Order: sequence, then C-alpha cells, then structure tokens
Amino acid sequence: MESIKRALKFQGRDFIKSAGMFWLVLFIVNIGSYVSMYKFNRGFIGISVSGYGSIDGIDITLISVAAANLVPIIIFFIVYCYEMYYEYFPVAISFSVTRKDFYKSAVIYNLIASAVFALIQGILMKADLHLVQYLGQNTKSDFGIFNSGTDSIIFIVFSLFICFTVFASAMNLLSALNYKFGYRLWIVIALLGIPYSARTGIPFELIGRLFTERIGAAQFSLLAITAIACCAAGFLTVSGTNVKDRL
Amino acid sequence: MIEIRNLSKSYGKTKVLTDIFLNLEDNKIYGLLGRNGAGKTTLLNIVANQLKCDAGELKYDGEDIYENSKAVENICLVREKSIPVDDDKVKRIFDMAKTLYKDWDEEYKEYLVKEFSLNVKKKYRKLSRGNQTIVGLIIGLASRARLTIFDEPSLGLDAAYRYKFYDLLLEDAEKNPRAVIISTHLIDEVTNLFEEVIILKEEKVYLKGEVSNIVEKGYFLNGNYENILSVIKGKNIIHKEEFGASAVVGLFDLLDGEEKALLKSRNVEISPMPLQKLFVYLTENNSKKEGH
Repeated sequence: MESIKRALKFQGRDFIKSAGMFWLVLFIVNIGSYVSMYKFNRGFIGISVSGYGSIDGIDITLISVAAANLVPIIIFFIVYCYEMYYEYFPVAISFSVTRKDFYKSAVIYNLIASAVFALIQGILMKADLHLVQYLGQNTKSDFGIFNSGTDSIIFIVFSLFICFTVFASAMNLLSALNYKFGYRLWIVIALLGIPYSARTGIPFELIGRLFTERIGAAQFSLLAITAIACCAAGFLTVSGTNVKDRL
Repeated sequence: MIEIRNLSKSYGKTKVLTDIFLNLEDNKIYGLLGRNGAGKTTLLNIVANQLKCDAGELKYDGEDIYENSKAVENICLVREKSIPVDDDKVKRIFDMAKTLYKDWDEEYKEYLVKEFSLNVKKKYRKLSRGNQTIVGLIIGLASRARLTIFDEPSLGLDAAYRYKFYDLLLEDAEKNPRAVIISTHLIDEVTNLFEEVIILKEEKVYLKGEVSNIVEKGYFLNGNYENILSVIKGKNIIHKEEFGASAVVGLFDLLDGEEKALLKSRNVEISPMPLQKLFVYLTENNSKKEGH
C-alpha cells in the first residue's frame, strides 16, 4: 500500500498544477467569450459551440460557450495519458516502482481527473444555460448524452464522468501500446485498422454510440464494459513493458 | 537476501544468461565482473525488476522479486545509462527520487551535492557525462536502499571524483550497512571495496568468492620455465609468456610454503597477481592444468 501511495504522490506532483493551469485558461477563455457576447451582442465572437433550431418556424442559432470546453478537455486527456507513459513511467520504473503499482496509480489519477473535470464542466454547462440566455442568445442544451436544460446537474456530472472515464481509459491503453510498440503500432493501425474500419465502419459507429447516446442502463453497461476492457488490456500491456532508453 | 536459481535470459536467439545460480547476502559489497557482453547489465536489470527473466527463480527474502513491491522498494539500481528524463533540472530529479525511495535520506543527499559540487539548478541533459554519473551516484547513496546496485559507476568520472565516491561508499557502508553490487571495468581501483567478487563468463557465473581467497590464489612466477614447471606441475596456469628459457607464468592455484620455498631456491620470483590481471586471464583463456 505504501508503494502505491508513493506512486500516487509521484504522479500527482504535476497533476494539480497542470490541471489547475488548464482550467484557469479555460475559465479566462469562457469569461472572454461571455464578455464578447455581451459587448458585441453576437455569439460568434469568442469561443463557443453553435447549433441550429427553430422557434415558431423561424430558424435560430443555438449557442453554448461551456460546451466548447469539451474539445480542450479531450486534448488534455490525450496529452496527460501520453505524458504518463513517456515521462513518468520510465522514471518510476527506474526508481524502483513496480509496473503494477504504477498502473494502479495511473488508473486512479484517470478516475480523479474524470471526476474533477466532470464536476467542473457539469457546473459550467448548467451555468452556461442561464448566462447565454441572460446575454440574449438562444442556448444549445441538447448534447445527446444529456440535456443541460432538462437534466439535473447530478445526471450531467455523472454522464460526463462516465464518458471522460471511458475516453481516459482508451487513451491510457493507446499510450501504453504506443510506448511499448513505438511506431510499429501506427503501422499496424494503418495497414489493418484503417482498411477494416473503412470497409465495415464498426469502430466509428461504436465510438459514435459511446459518446452520443443518452446514458441509460444499457448505455451505462456498454461504457463500463469498454472502460474495464481498456483498463485490463492496458494492464496486460504495461505489465510486460520495459523502460526504453531512447524513445 | 537474494537467491537466484537457474536464471536464464535471451534476447531473441542470443542467449545472455544461462542457469545462473547466486546467493547475495545482506551488508556485503559485491563486485560483479565480466567482459563486455557477459550479461552483467542484464543480470542487474533482472535483479532490480527492470527486466523479466525467461526462466528460473529470483527471490528476495524468500519472495519472488518480479513486480513485488515489498522487494522492489528495497532495491535501487543506478544504471550505466542516463536517467530517462526529458528536460528536467537535477533538483527535480532528486525530488522525484525522494518521493519514490522509501528510505531516502535528504540530509545525506544535500551533503553529497556539496561534496561533489553539483549544480542542482542545471538541466540534467545539459550536464557533462561525469556530472550525470554523479547524479546517479547521489541517488544510489541517498536512497539508502537495502540493496544498492551501481552499474559502471565510474563512467565519465575523473580519478578524483572516482576515489571520492569509493571513500564515501565505504564510509557510508560502515555507518549504514547495506548490500552493494558494483559492476565495473576499473577493477584495480575498487578491489579494496569488494568483499566478494562474482565473475560472469560464457553466460554463467564462472567464479564467486571472497576477494581475499581469490587473490590469494593468483601468482606471477618469473624465472626459468623448466624450474617453474617442475614445482607447479598439475596446477592451474592461466597465463604464460616465454622468453627463451625464461618465462612469466600466471598461476591461479594455492601454493603451500614448501612449494614457495622450492621455487625461491630455484631463483623463481613469486609476486601476487592483481585482481584486474587475474580477471583478464581468467576470462580470456581456457585455463588448463599443466601436465594433465
């Protein structure tokens, strides 16, 4: 247990700093977007997500500033997972941490990151609804997996948490595979994966299903199974991975 | 403390270690010797959980080492190669080591930094090879791990810093006893540090024993070849240089007082063979029993 605590402390060294900086920048961008919306009375200035709808047969533009955070959050998870394997893994293993403890710690941090990000983003999504309306714009509230207008904040946070966890688990697996196999992984993906997915469309359909459908019991089971499968495959990958001297 | 049984490791079709048997005890300083490619680094990496062996057993206090936190947290390997960090400052590397090694001694680290005049504000990648080695040495010493392994600890170090390291290691081993394995090619410099040596040759442990017992058996005999042979018939000759009727013979065997007196009476000069020479002859030649 003590060794996992040390691995957690080690991996957490930069997590609070980097996640803090990330959200600080996002808050500034979000506030800037609301300010520009207020000042210029236009939703297109600043960073936002827009959609289209109609009221009484008149086409309208629907706007959400907070929803635009989802893309940077996805990028954060990609960078964070890659950093975990390309920066922290070699040092941790070289400094007497077992692969098992490192992996457990990485999964715990993915869960923590997913929970914290889901909580912040959930609150922002709810607040966005009122802020955009207050600024005289029509709010985009239907995001497939939840509706920020009609769903409770608990459901929104839960839905985001599940989706972030699945995405982080998949990225964790991809970065572990990439660290272990290097460029060979991309060759395999290019030679086998792309022709297969182009012919059958299965991976894209699955990804689409995972992150666009509203979370009910069946969808929750699918997401949970996906996350567990990614974590298990990641563990098998990491448990047989040695530290590389040159990346 | 460490028990190795039947351990083997290959890289593809290349066998590196075959059926290694070793016992390592607490609070001893071991020298691991072997020619380039003998498998020293591979063996050390396996002991330190960096690599998995293909076959055999590796135990720490009776428990398997591989992926066993209880064992691995007590082992510190200072690698021959650079620490795998990107763009970190030395200070940050020490902080990481402090977080990860359970018995880390921060005060001792500060002392070592001063002793080696290391600039901790510099980026690790920008350090000279010698200073990169010093970072590793400080981590190894300050880790206070029960088993500390130094793989080529003298790489890039000048003589003054090498001797400083040897002195610090001896001083610390006295105050805070622990097992240490040093793998090095500069054997003569560290002979006094070693309590036991392990020589790897042809994928196996060729020789393991107390330094004093091994060195005791190494002799150079200089004189008339026939006179030498008449006394050492049947003994293990590991080196021979002939100059006409004279020869210098390297012997790895025990000589009793009577044999020594006989050699001296026949004008044969007897001198002890340094460990480095002994190692070179043992690992390069197939020694043979003269006369058999």
